[in-house]
Amino acid sequence: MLRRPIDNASGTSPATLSGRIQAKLDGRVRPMLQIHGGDIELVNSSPDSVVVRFHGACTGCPLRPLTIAALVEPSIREVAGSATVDSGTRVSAAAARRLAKLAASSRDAASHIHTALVASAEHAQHCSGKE
Amino acid sequence: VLHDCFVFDCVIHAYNLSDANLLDRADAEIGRGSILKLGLDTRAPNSALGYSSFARDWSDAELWDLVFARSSTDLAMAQTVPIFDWFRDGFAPVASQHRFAQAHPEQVLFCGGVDPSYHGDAVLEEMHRQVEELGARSFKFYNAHIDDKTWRSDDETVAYPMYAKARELGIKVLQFHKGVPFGNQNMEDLRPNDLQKAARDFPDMTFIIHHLALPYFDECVSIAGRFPNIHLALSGSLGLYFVSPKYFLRLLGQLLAEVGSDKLIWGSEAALMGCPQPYLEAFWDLQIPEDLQEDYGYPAITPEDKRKVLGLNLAQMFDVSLPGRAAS
Repeated sequence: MLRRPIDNASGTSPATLSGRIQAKLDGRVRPMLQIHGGDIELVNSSPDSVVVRFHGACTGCPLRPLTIAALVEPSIREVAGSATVDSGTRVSAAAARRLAKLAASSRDAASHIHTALVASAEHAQHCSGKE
Repeated sequence: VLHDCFVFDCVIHAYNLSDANLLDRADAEIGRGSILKLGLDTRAPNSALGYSSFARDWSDAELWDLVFARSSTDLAMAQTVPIFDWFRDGFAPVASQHRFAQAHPEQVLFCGGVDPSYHGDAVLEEMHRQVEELGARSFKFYNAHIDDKTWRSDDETVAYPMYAKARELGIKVLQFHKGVPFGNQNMEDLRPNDLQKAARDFPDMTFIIHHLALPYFDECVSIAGRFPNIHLALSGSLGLYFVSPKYFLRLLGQLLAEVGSDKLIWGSEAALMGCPQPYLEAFWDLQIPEDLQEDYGYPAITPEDKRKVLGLNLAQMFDVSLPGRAAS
């Protein structure tokens, strides 16, 4: 009852928007949630709106809004642009503003980390070439 | 109908808190006294409607007057309270609830109640009688008792046969008093935690926790948030709004954020809590204050939330048709 099995990307094609969202959820989001007994399901999607629902341990977790802001929404937006994300989770407008700010800084931080990793890899490759 | 809002009260009781129903034991008055004090301490102003004493056997006419004639309640469930520790016939007896439901079949549903420590080996037969002969639509349980009679809601030997029997009888909703212990019972016996395994093992049944399991509120929220088949009935807790409004609003804000309005159910606890109307009006008018939204992140409450809580959720649970305006 607590953990509901979800088919990974069942019936979706990478060529469709829902397929790309599902692939993003399967590749990045769901593994993060599943390691502590949670999960997320793509209910439906359109260019304007993406509806997801949490399952398992995520359903009663007070940190769900943080998971949405820092992980779920950024991942979905990478393939769904500015579509609204309805996760069934409710917070106040004040909390939503704080979370949006956090998500923006997370993206910046992630971008910096990515840049640093690329630079580090290039540096390693360069050093390796010298040898 | 309250502001065109359909009101389905999950829990009213036809009480028998009379002297005649008290057992002849030294602590009986402690048990009855704690129940009466709870009502006295948290009853809304002007809700007593001139009833000077609640320590008596409430008649059908009095309960009808309190709940239906003087409030916007459309439908209600008269719930048995199977506590026999201090009462000969329980303090909200089966016969009284059934009689009230039978007198008003269009407005009142009958909720039965049994207790394995009281009914013993006959508990399943009694469940059968209450459903087949009296038309029970649900069962109420109270698992904490004095005299070493406490049982756990996840006891596979004691509790599970009752759930299986309910299922066999076509009952889908099982209700539990949690938290708010009466008299000198152990309060930890009323923690809601033992409903988790029961909810896992009976996924086709719906479990309702009453009273927000206070003071075990955080556990209650976590459990209801994670288990799709566990719902919460407010059950008299709106009385707190009149005593400590900010405290109640903080509870409500957390419920909206972490459990969701789809799983919250209205319950007035009339007659003990008095006429439901002041509570209904207060619930309809209340808002989650700006500072709780700012500091705790709780969402604002919407009219749609209130309609769900006050009636739509329970109507769906018991497959009740809504009257015209509410249906639209």
